[in-house]
Amino acid sequence: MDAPLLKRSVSPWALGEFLVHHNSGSTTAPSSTLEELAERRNEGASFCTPRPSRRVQVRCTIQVDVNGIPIDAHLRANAKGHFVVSALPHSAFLSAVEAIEALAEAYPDDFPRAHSAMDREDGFFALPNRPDQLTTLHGDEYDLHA
Amino acid sequence: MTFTRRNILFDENASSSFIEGVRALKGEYSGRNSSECGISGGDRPLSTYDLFVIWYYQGWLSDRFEEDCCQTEASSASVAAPLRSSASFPWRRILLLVFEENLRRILGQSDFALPYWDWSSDGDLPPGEQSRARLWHTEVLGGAGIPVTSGPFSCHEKRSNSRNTWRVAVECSPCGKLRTTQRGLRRGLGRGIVQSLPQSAHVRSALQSLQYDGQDAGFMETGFRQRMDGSSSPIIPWLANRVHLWVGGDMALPTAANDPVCFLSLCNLDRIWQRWIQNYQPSNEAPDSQETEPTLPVDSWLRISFPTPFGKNLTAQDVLDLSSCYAYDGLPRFGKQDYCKATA
Repeated sequence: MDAPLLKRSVSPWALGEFLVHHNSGSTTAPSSTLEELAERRNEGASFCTPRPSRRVQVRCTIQVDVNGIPIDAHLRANAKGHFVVSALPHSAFLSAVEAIEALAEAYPDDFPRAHSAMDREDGFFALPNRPDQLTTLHGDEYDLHA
Repeated sequence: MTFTRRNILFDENASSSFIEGVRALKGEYSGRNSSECGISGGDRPLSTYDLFVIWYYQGWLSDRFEEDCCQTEASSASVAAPLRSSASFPWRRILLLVFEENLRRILGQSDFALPYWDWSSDGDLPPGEQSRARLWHTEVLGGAGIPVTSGPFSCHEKRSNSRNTWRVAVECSPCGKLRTTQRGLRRGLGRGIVQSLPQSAHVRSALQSLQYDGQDAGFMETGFRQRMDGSSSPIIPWLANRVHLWVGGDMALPTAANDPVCFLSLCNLDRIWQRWIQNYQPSNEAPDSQETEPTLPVDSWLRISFPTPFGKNLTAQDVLDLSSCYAYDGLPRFGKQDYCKATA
């Protein structure tokens, strides 16, 4: 990795070429209105174990409705049994409902809700602080400042 | 020439240059429009900064998305979603190098070096004080809000056309696809389910991992990489993911790079990785711990390649030693002292 190569290769145009061509197809994005999302339900997900003795593969189908509207949340369960959604890559959840609620909180424009007393002036919704869910596989390593 | 990356809170020049450079990249037309990148929501011109947002997003998601529990075969196979894989640290290193070089170019400062945010220092503060740390003051990055209304990356609806307004142009949709938008930046700063940052003790603990990846990656998060990335732990994640969730808002999404603090955090991750590499290189002195003499594990992760804008794929092995490009003013330490002077 030499400096001349670095300078030559990273112009905005070169970066654009890389993103458009090298990753072609990786960002093909359908519209994300609720109506169109409804047409793209989760059709399936699978995961497998890396254990050497045998290859276990589980396929499941997940359908998600919010306020009666089916959505494509790209929700899946991983091999640990935790639920993950593609749009929240930093999180894993112990329940599918928690995952979708977190998704709705992260996308307030896509999942509008009626104003209530819980809504705060600064725009943040109060998330439940449930100590029973603050225990993780490694929870003992964190000082949660309870 | 070797540049020195410094703590943003200890170097006002680096801080002001970073902010000025980021805003300039945001205002520079890249020559690309959103439709060329397959982004829905109406064709819009993309800034150079937006290209980095898209690149970072591609690190998380792609059509070839693989679950993190399905490990890539031990080979030189390319990784579709590097941030979910063993390629996360080397991939971030390349992203930062290119971003840093673009900042140098647009600032016209040949000696500019990307600063880092040592979030574990803020994490050592009481949780109630972390969101009031100096990084979030108006003169640095500004504070929380939907949208953020203070600091250099704020958005005021009443003057939304102002050149001083920071507008998010590309975001990830709920189904994980890119789309165009026009809105202000969003930040929570500890108001979500993660209410405190990782602490320096957590960093020291991760640095003690002898292996880069755990033996049974995906199940046992024993490796340095899994502990630092924090992938797949429920509710309260490990280090990097915890930072993203604590900042919240845009930082919690695959398009986290919409918030410039993302690059400061990635730079700190790279700094910690540099410390790990230094610790475990056989040619280095053994760390002052009671552990057996460590050696850099020559594992499959060193050979996993990932695409780069340099016109060729690179591997972790290729980017382990970039001492000719940059160094850090200090690396985290897991011994008795908090920091040690070291070069990358």
